[in-house]
Amino acid sequence: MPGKAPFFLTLHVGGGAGTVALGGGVQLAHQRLEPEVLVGYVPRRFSSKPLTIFTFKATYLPIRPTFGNHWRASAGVGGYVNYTHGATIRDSKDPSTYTPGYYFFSTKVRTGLFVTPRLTYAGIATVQHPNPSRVSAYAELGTNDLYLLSLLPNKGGISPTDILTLGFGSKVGW
Amino acid sequence: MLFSTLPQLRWAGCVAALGLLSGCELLEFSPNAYNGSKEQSNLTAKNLARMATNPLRAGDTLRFVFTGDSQRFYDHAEKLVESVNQQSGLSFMVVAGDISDFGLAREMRWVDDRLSKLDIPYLTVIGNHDQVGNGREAYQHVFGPLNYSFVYGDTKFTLIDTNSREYNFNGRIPDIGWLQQQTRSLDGAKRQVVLCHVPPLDGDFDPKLTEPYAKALEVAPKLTFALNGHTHSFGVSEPFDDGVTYISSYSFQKNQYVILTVWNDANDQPKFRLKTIAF
Repeated sequence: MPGKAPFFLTLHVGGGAGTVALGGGVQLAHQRLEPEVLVGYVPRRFSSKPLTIFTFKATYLPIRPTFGNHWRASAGVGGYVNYTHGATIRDSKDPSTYTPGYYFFSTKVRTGLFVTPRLTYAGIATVQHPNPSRVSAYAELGTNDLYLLSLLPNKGGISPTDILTLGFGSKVGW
Repeated sequence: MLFSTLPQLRWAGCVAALGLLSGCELLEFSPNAYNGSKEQSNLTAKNLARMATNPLRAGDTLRFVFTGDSQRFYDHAEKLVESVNQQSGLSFMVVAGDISDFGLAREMRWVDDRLSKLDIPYLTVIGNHDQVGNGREAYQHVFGPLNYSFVYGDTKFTLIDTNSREYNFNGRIPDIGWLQQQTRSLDGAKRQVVLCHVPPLDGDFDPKLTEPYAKALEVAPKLTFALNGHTHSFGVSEPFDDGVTYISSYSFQKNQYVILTVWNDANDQPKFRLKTIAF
């Protein structure tokens, strides 16, 4: 697949980035590295007041075998950092409420890691259409910093499966 | 509690619930959201309903477990449950706040995964850690009201949110008017107990409300004692020299808890006995 048009749009569900998130990014390093930004939304039904989540995510896809002319299966890893805004979110770093270090963690900024399988369908490049569009479906299985902190000091407490988070989505590139 | 006790079934449930999106905690919208199993919501009401099916006879002595600050001490929680289940004659357990460390619904459910294995019901009051982030909303979804009271046997319990700092010391938390209203009447009970997280002389308690809070307890009829968490260290004191006994709980991490036994003496005055259990 030609790499001259590396832009893509993303529709994402879950994974700590919102009930639904929209965004996009670029493909770099021969389509192996994908930085992107997402804006996610959590409706009040799940959080009392709506949440807006701004995410920067980077996915690295070192494994990318192709099947036939159209299909490609990929596997990779990624990481993200996001910021959550919401009317009911109390900021643990608010200097008007807390002395420095009162809470060691941030309630608004989260970081996380994930592994991601992906299936991509791409058109065939022709002279008339040298950059055919491609569409991918992916899942992300990961966790975040606070869940890791909940797991690590507990020997025999919660299990690694307890802290997993799932997200999935679709990307359209051209 | 099928979903909380059988991990394989919980995963199967998550896959089945993908289409419904909200029923699955694994499909995480945000750590600050509280979508997940409906089994683990309104736990206060569910535990009170469970207690109502096992009433204490009038005149019977009440025995209950007092602990607090479960936070991230999940391995300690499992040992505590094992120990409490070996005791006899207990009616329920109270946890004096800070169920979670980061104010996340998953944390509250992880604690419930363990405490729901108790042979007795358990009740909670909200702590300051349960309020950070979207915690206040998550707590209300998973557990229930921030202020509530109930009568069990001959004892009235009033549980009140005293986490003033989490409201930026706005002068309304704790709700002194509500406390006075609750403690004024025993609602047919013969004694009463007040439970909160932050004790009234702590720096996280609104200093403008310390005196009115202490006064409300001083004039509360047949008050056996006032209970609190937050300090992570057990203690019994009368800090205001007004005849009111304040008891501070162990945290889960301390590997100890307290069994409180309450009754009224021949003059109908409340009495209590306190026993510390190590686990």
